[in-house]
Amino acid sequence: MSALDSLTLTAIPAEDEALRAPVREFLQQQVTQLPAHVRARSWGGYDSHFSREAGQRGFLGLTLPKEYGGGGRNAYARYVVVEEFLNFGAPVGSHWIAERQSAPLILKYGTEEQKRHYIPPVCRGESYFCIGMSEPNAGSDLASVRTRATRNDQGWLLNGQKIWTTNAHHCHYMIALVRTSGTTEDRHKGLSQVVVDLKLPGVTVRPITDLSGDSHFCEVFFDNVQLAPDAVLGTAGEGWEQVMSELAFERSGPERLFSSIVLFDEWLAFVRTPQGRTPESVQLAGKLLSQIAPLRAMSIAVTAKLAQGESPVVEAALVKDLGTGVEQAIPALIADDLYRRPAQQLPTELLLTLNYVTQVAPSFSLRGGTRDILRGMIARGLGLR
Amino acid sequence: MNEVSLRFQLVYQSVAGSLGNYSFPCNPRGDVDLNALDDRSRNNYYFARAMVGRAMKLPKVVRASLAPRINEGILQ
Repeated sequence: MSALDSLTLTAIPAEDEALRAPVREFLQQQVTQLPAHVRARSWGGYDSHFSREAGQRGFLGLTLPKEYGGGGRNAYARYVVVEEFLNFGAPVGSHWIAERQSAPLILKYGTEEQKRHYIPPVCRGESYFCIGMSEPNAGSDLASVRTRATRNDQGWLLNGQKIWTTNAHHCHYMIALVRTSGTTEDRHKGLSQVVVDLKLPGVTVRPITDLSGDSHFCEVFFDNVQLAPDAVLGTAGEGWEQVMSELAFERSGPERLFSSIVLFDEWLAFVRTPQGRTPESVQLAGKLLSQIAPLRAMSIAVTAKLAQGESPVVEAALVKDLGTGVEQAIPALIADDLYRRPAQQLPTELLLTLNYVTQVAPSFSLRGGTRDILRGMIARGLGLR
Repeated sequence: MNEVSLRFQLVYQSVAGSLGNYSFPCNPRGDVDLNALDDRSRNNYYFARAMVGRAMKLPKVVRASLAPRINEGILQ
């Protein structure tokens, strides 16, 4: 069965769709007053107050068990909430990674004690995680990680460096992929995941300013950081399999379609005005919608697989590869539409939002797995590698 | 905007002259003080930036004395 055969057109069940109204009401109160160029940051936007409010209303950790503070619901419910968060451009960055993949990873591989310690504050929007995967010489080639945790009397001694770590300067914990045995020659063997409290002595976090002037990414240095014996998540030496499982959470959500959606909406609002409406712009609106709509249907089909307990790695890679292509096309096509018009007729907020999205759009096909990596996975899923 | 910054301009030249050119007061590094621009100039600045690589070339920092005539952020 090919990846395409396995994606079935699926409707979101009514009981999950019913979540949309209360989420929208919440977002109307919390987000709509923010200007579009701020909302365009969406899962790059950081606001711990927003995350706590969302947690209080039960919008975080929807798929996690109630006994750990979650909603005890299915993947469709989370899809509805996340889709609305992204459509509104809510500043979800603080809880984003913790809620999307760290807590589910801990639920899957953690001890009972780890689950009870880490998951409830994630569901409350109070505890934030980052992912320690990439290193200066180990990005797409993740098996080359050199950061090492060595056994000692007190637990594990951590040394090394991570880079491109999203929001590490705002987070409480990192789940890091590190080598606990062997050498880089051993590739996938000897890797483990450890939970690192970023307040520990020996941890240094340095933000990196990107092209847009924001500082989402960080370098993180570990200099003889003493970790407790129970810092290992899951089984020592099986970090590679765990990371692959974690990446399925990262690549399967609607966020791989909606990175440019605030810009698209802002431009649509202009096209709806008499001075903004041209035959070309109306045609472009239809063209873009005709690409977004089937991608959304594919993303929901991936969600259906998650709801059935499957791990749709190949299907998620397919949606991400196609989705980021559309996300990157949106600012380019909107700029094509605007540049023939007099600058003074264009709303300042639309231009500001276009500026921001244009600058960050190249990163869409890098973050969460580059296009080459994804296509390799799709080829493997089709039996071609 | 200080006196030094007024002696430099960030110039956006259009590809093939299709859109005209844009110029804005800046410091020697090319930083434009947006608060010092009026609404019209600020809009032009965002427009020019958004069109780099499409209708505009990469901007250049030039000494104001070498820049063409400036009119509210627009070079005619």
